[in-house]
Amino acid sequence: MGRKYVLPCAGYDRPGGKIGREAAELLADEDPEVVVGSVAALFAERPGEVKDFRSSQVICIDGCSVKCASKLAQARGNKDMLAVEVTDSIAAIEGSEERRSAVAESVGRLYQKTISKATSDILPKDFNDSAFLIEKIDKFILKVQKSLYYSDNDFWARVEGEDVRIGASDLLQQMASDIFFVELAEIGKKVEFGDDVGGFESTKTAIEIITPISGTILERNELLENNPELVNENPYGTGWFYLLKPDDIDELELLKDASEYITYAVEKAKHELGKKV
Amino acid sequence: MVMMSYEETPTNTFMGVDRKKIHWWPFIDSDKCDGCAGEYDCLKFCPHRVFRPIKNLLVIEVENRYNCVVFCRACQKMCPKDAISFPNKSDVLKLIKDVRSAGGE
Repeated sequence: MGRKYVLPCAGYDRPGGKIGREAAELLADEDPEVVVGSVAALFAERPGEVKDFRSSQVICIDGCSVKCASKLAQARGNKDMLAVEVTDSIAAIEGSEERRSAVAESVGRLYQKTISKATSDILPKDFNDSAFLIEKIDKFILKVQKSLYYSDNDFWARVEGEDVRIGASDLLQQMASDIFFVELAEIGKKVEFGDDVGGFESTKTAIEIITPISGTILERNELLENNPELVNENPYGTGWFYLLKPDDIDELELLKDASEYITYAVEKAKHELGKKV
Repeated sequence: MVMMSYEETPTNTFMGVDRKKIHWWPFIDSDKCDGCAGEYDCLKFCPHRVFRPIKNLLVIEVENRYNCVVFCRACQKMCPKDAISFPNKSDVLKLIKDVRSAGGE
């Protein structure tokens, strides 16, 4: 996905700056597309440095809240940069290697998030139809995205590297109808399969988010606070709820695959429709 | 009193286990329940027809226990009198996993 210019701040003599610098080097070791930037060279506008800076996705790692790296990147004209700060919680992690990895991981996650956001901006709202199993029930069109796992409570789980993203199925959002409020649990919370982890309210009902996998919450979809309708508009995409670090990935075997789920969902949808008649 | 009817059960299994083997539905503390003074919030709230009001006593009772969504505890949270409780989730999950590993239903 193109080159990345990772710019750690210049506070090498301070704990946060040192971790940031080490994390940048770790990222460069792991990814040939990563160039480690130099605050001094960028400040002095050394030609080679400026070229790298302008031709790459810029990712700043700030060692403290003064944010020297981000400020410099902005001053040099980059408005789309990503920035990670070595927070107190990261600084409290024991072991320099662990601290370094924690920073590198948060850079990686931030970057992935940007890519997925950019991708969802480009693609039409519902990706494209080949990614779905589609059934018509009366006038309702039910979409089940292939390659996801589904719980009997109508939540999906998607494997993303070592993490698992979860959200509501199309059936669930259709049954709920217009969602106007989503309440999400805190990042870092540990959850067990079947736990309720926040919930959402629609014009028809209130539904708890029942997690289809055990693990720790890494990210939550902050967009939903102001845009709860994304769950209706794009349940398998921008309407996701959480990214979790699973305790045991094999737990997914408890869930249904897309073809098993669509059979179940059609039956459930028919039952729901039947109730209204 | 009319006998309970389970005809409403949307699906017969949950995670591949016979729904009737899974003991998950609300327990009503009839000392605490006051039927919300005739409003029956849980009855209005739950879309799965789990509850039935007993109007002369101003309390709610569970009519369709197997309609209750396994692991959902939304009615417990919204009950103003805290009169609704559920079984221990880990115990129920363990039972489901045990039945599954023993070869299904």
